[in-house]
Amino acid sequence: MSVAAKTEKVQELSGLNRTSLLKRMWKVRWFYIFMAPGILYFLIFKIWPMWGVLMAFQNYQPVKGMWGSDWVGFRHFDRFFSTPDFWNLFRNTFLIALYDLIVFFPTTIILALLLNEVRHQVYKRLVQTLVYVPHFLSWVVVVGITYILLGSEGVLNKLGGLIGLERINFLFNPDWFRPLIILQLIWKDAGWGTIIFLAALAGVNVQLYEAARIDGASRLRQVWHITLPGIRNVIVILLILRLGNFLDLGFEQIFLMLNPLNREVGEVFDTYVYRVGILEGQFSYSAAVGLFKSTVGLVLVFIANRIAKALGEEGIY
Amino acid sequence: MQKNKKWGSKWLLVLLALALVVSACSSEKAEEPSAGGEGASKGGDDGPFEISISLNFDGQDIPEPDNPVQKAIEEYTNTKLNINYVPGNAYQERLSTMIASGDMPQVVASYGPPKQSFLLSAFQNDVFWDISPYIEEFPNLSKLNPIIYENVSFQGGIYGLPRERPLARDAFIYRADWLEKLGMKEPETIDEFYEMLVAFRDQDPDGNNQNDTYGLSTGNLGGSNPQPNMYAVFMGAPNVWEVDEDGKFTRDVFHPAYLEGLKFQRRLYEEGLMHPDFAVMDRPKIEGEFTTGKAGVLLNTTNTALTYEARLKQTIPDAEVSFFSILSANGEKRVPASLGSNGILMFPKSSVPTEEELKRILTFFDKLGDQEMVDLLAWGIEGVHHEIVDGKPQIIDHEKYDREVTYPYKFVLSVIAPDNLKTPGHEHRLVLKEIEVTTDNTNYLVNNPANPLVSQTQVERGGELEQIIRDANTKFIMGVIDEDEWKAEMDRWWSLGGEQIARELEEEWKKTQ
Repeated sequence: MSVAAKTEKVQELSGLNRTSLLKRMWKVRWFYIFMAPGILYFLIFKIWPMWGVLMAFQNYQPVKGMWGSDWVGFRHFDRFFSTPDFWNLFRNTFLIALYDLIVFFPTTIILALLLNEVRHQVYKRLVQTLVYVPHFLSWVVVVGITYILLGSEGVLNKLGGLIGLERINFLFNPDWFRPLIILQLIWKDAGWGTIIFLAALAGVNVQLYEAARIDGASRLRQVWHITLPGIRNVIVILLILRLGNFLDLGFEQIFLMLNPLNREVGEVFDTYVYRVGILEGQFSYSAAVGLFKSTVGLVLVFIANRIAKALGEEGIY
Repeated sequence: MQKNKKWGSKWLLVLLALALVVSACSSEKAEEPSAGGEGASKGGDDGPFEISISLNFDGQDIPEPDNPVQKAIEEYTNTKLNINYVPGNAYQERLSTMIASGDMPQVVASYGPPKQSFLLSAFQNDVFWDISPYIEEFPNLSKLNPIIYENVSFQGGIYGLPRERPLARDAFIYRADWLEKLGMKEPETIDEFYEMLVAFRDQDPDGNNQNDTYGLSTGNLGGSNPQPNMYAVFMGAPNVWEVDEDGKFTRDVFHPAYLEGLKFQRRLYEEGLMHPDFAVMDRPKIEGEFTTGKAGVLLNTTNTALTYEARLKQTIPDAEVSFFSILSANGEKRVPASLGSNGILMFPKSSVPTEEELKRILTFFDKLGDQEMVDLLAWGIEGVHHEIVDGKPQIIDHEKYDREVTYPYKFVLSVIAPDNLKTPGHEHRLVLKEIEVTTDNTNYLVNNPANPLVSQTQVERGGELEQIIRDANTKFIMGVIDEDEWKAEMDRWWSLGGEQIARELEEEWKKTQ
């Protein structure tokens, strides 16, 4: 077949596809109408504001506006990468994110599995509700509780003092910073994180368990061979999505926990942006840092998705 | 039955939808007046002129807008005030975003030192009116000490009305009743101060037979601008910057007395004379330690002592407060001078488009300097806040007066300090002391030569750099780092930008000579 004929054929086919696509769309028009609010939300609140990213390449002055401000190219990125704090920030952010991933994330799965194994329905519901509750507390409250419990005059140190233990300065000791952040995170959000897993667990075919039991599989074996494989794709998808927000640590939590003595391990990109960008009104600089963070997140999602696909999972796209 | 149920749910839906629509409408309406700006200022000559104002607020309760004090101000000045109070510790953040969004009321307070980067770039870009050409026209505003205007000026322009304060007004506010009980006198030297703190810790000053009191309530107050270290200045260090005849600028941290000051604080920390968690304590917490009778001393400005006494008396009726500003060391008296104002009131060009409107607003602030308004702000309303005793006014309840007059109006709205001009009355001993101390302080002022100068590096990265010094100081006080490590941090500050700031200050300084 000649090239011309080929293109003709392709055009014909795509033309066909187009009419059939429109037809199909018309057929399911109600779905599109249902989807409209969601699509509009993303267009208006997520896609449209993206042009503000341009700020990162300007010396943005609110008065002059977007088009009046001077363009400075990569100056802000230069400054950011050459600041002596950069590697420190990067390390802090990366480490907390990593702990989050290898400690917090599995905790939610384990908690979900544990809940799933509870046979007494009333008890199960009760526990489920109780572990959701902390999610609805704000970080200010959680950090406040931490201070009351762990301050040098806090409950724990007072109790320790009674039995003759030496006072530990949890809040000021840099070594305690990351463990405390992860512990707080687990206390507050682990329960909430189980919701999707529990939903996935409910979808695992019951007959498989019956078959396994007949074959004499123990509870642990059932979990390992049936439950976990059953929710594997959900775990992978959630993991990839979580990687997308890898560097978005909870700003509030870390900001509230920061103090002069743990800043060297606690300062992360978000708190840096707040301190240098918002408080000092350097909006272009903060935009540049934010853009860098998002780029890292995007790259991580791509990589994770590739890996997932290579391992035969579905991935998110 | 089935049918009824269906109808019920339908009605519920309709009701829900209605509720949504109604709430949406009402929220729209509620937002209209706060849009302020252009629409609000159409007052005309006869009706009251509407002014929208954003102010920092350090009191405890934000007043209702229709309270008698505000009514009286509005009536006298023929205005309608639309004040938005923002807590002091959240103000800086709000201010920078407010300027960035361009959505500002007609009057915006800047809180703290005027040379913050986002403010300076706003000044450079003509966001706010330069009021220097107009001040002369106003009888009261032009009476203000020119030094105060100069201290807040930027490249020859004055971008806001300063709120007048004494030049040196930092004070150690202490429990006078404790001191009296322990048979001690007000400390005059650093050593006597130390002894007082020890006594407050050890000698059960509250007399409850429990070891539950300590000396100094202090904390880690934010802010990105360099602040002098009080103890270091007492011991001979400069007020942030020092300049020699050649114009060479040296930062206080490199003066040996600065380290002495820090060592003194370290000693206080080690010996439990201040709270072990001071590094994470914010203003309300610091105040709480003092007003609940745990700590005996607190550092704030002279004009706050009365407030603390009032708050203390609510729970401890016998409590009495007093204060001092200077602790002499090596037989010398020194006190760091500040700007003579506490923030400025700025007028954005976007919401005050014409000169005419600007003058109308300036007239409002000028009128607050008239005798009638001065007395309202200084004494409150007769029968409510003060009564006339022997023909002279006397405050009835200081706590009420502070809550309803001082914090919402007197401190934040008046350009000329009312206390200097008010009708004399029966003064509280702390008010008399305030006048005495702040007047006496002017004999021992240590100025910061960098105050009228602008360094571009300081503007751009000053806050970031200052954090290095602040963190190192805290760590040193808490004994986490030693002297050498602290010095290394100061060198780091110097190499990362401190040197550049010093050089830029030198250049600016030479221009003025």
